[in-house]
Amino acid sequence: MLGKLVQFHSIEELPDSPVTKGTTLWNPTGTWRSVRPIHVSRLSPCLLGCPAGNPVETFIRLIEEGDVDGALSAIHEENPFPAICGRVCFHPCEDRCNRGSLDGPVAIHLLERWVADRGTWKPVPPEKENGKSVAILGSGPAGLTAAYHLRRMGYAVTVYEKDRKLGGLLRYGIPAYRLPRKVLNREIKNLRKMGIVFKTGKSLTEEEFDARGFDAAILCVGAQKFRDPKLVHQEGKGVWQALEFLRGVNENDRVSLQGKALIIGGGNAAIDAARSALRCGADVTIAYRRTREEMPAFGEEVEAAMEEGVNFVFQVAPQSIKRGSDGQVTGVGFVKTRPGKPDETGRRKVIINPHETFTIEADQVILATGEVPADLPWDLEIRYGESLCETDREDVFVAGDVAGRQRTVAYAIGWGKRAAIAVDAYLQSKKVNFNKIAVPGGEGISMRAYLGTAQIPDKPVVPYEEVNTYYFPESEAARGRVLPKQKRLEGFNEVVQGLASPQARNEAARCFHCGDCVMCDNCLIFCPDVAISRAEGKEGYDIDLDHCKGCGICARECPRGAIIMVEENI
Amino acid sequence: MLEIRFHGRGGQGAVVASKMLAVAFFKEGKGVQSFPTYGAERRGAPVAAFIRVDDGPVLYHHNIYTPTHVVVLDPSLMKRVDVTQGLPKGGFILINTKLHPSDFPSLKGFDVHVVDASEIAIKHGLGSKENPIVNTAVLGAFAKASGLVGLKAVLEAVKEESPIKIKKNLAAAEEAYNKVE
Amino acid sequence: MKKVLMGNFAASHGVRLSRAQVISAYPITPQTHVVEELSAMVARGELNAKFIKVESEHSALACCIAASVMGARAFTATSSHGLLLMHELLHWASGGRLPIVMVAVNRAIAPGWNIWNEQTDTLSQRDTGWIQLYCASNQEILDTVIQAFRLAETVKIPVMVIYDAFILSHTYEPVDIPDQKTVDAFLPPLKNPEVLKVGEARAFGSVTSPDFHMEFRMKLHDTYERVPEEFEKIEQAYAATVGRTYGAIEPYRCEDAELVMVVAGSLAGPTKMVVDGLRQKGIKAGRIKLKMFRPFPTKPLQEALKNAKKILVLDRNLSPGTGGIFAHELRSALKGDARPVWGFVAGIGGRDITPELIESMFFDAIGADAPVSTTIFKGVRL
Repeated sequence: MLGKLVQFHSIEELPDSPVTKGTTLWNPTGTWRSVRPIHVSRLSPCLLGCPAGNPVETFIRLIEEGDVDGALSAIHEENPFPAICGRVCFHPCEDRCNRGSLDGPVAIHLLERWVADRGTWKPVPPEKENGKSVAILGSGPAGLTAAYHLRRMGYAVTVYEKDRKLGGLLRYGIPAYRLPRKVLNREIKNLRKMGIVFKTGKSLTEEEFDARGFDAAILCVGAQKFRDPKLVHQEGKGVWQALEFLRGVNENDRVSLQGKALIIGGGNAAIDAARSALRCGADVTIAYRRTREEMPAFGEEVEAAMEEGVNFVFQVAPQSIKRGSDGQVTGVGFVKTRPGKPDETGRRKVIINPHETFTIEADQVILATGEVPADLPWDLEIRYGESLCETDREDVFVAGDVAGRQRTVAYAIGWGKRAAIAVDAYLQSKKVNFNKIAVPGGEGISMRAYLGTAQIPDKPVVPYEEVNTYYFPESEAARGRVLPKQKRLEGFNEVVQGLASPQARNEAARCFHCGDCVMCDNCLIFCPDVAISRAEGKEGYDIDLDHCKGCGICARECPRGAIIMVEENI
Repeated sequence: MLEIRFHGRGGQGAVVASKMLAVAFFKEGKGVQSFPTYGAERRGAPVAAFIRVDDGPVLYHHNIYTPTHVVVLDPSLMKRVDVTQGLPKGGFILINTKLHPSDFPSLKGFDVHVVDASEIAIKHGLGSKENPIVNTAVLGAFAKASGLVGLKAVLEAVKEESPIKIKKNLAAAEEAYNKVE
Repeated sequence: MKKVLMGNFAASHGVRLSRAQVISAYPITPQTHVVEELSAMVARGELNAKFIKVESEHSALACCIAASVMGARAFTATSSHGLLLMHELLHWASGGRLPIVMVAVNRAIAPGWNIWNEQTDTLSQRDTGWIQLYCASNQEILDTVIQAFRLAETVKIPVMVIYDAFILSHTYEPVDIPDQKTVDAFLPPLKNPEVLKVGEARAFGSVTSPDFHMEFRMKLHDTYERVPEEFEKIEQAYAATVGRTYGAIEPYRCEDAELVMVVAGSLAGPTKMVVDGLRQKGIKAGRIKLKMFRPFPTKPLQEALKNAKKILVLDRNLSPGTGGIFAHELRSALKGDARPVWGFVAGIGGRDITPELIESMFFDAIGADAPVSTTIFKGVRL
């Protein structure tokens, strides 16, 4: 068992004290092994949660290493708009974050925002033009993201925007108190510096597209078609569609509203309209057909609206606009509702009680009853293929809300990236395996995986149970400072402030780095056979398989599930 | 063999005084031993310290029950502590006080000496008015009153063992030497 | 240079003169002065050593073991409960053959909480493999610390230098402090070829299988047999350089003594005085001062006691149910000897032992052919 017995010819030869003069290398404990540890890269839950495919764990690690610029570059590999995303995205990554099961998820959105605001990233034209050109219709987040990635790959890109200014929904739909215009302009300016051509106040017809010799087009015209509730007396003064109202506010910085404004709807547009109306001087009420819990709007936004003084009326369905003899709006007639049985999506139906009617007084009514995808401007049909961007014309693609199911900025960014990949694959005649570049079980897609500069881990996601929380003392998640209520209502100043640098560094340090080795040396320290050592000349560890006896202590002590034990082939 | 007992309060310097006196005797070639009451030494509490002096090395290690000489650093202690305990009739007592030996009728039959060491200490800036450090002055007085150890040896011991204010301590010892009754 | 020194400071000077390189300790009454003074010496630059503060005695000795394993001359000091907390590591030090020197000041063990003198703390560590040397004066403390380093380094066994709480630790006595040059001539720098070295594959404390463990223990035991002889040589060398000697035992007026009392520690002085007093009364009394307890100096004791008719042992310690530990050891050393041995236990928990009390023990033995009981408590308040 102990190898060759050391022979002493007399007790004098025996040393005085049991000091080992030599190593234990003579003892090949590796022969006892039935399983062996391997350091692996596994999926982290945050990556699964991000529709834009942000390299969350990577950029947080770079923050920890003090490389803010590197962190910003890492995000830019996947997403041209970290400053925007860090502000307006509702961070589904954090909903998946394993730290949420301990003491609150890592505030990833605030870290992304901090990196974007503090780091430097230089936009440059591609090193080599590939001689092909692409037209993009619409300058919302999907169109701009597609333009960005295609430009990076060497395409000549022209973006057509029928509005006066660029940004689409980012500019005309999202109020400035959530996304200051300075931030939006800064990130759009980056694209201009890369050599993307913008044509504002212009559209492009299919005939023009064919005539001008573009090699491909992407239609990103959004979802601006109003879902009309068709209320009695809806036509006439004093009734707005939510997007129309927001566009008015955002174009003119503010509009003056007096009296009572009643918002009908429960989505994000309803909240944006309500909080904007509040800032324009109105007394604001939101009326919604279902309960608070069923509101599709994001929870943090609903809370902020309540905090700022928006009234809410739930379980009411609008029937008619009440108007005075002069045609002025005086209120809205409602009936009460109650929840019915769930439909096939699991959402409960709304049952109307026609006998319980009442009126809510109002001077203005804003209808935030939703939008449906815009009609494609060209005579085409969407034909979802592998990339989810195809149309019945092979050189024309779609992206963003016009093709969309989930309609958020992060989805649009992810979709724009999909379209860019689809266009490149089509124009370069590349066969793309979408299974290799999309995050398995997640929403995002990886440009780096498509370009071959990084791989999406193929090992299963690290569940909370595999995180060794012993190594992570409890700590509270960072929160951005919030403007006091009074200051908020004075105008459209940004409500949530970013993190201070020490806060950001502390927050980054809260990251578990699920499934990613950060060279913490825990495996090396715990290995009872001293069989793990830092690899020479590269990242990672070497395992001395002559002496690793497969005890698994390294895997058990790995704080982040980045070591797995695999069976030896016998 | 001499067995000397010092009475004082914690913080007054009784332990240091006993050590200094031991050093003084040692400088004159005697065998000496000095030790405090063992245990808790709290500021303000009554404490005692002891010295044995002999011509050769001192080998005994038990407590001193029958001192040949007693030195009282704080006369207020005499209300609570019987400073003459174990002292044979005619035994030597030196008291730091403004009073005269005849003011202590209970000490009749003992060889009583007095010195106002507090005043001398205050005069030389040793300790505070409320809490003078009297040990060096008392040693000067002991040398003269007992005649057992010379002033020179006492001054040498004070010089060696005083942590601070050496000159003032020397002056206090010398003044007390000259003033003791 | 002669100075009037507290026993604890005599120990500090011994360590300074021995040029200890690593000192690690945790404060405990009545030892604290020893390391307090050493830390001051290090701070003042009088001793070029690393002073390591720790959170317990267990860690203090662990630091010394680590230092010794790396070839440094290491020292610690403790007492009573602190020594008991070190118990496990005492074995590590001796089994590792590490020449560490420790000062252990004898103090009683709780409960009741008692900071005063009693020897049970060190005696209960007798099987840990440490050499134990008991001191009777402050001078002996200083000299023994210096000798202990040389002894420990010669036989590669750690040494405890032991003395009584307060009776020596806090008592001032004249002490001759040898100069550094003299001590340097006696105690050369430590050389241990078996220590660990940075950059070399060596390990301390690894497994010794049944194939080896017994031999290591036997080797340690065999080395113990050599200790008295080595100690004698070291004493001769010390006498030649510094001019003092103590002996593993010190018999006094034993040649013709009919009654001989055996004691250890600070009782050596008063018992000597009592013997002189008894001699004046015509009683043939003698006494033996036991300096070395581990290894037990059986042969010198047998020799010194050969003419005694009655043997008395005065223990300031107690093994409950057995009695005084020195008495127990002595009876064992005398084996089949038919002479009566009086085992007196006195001075437990700091109770004063007066010359009268010692004298009464002799009279107990004079007045009887054999002790009334194996263990006789003296000075007990009944």
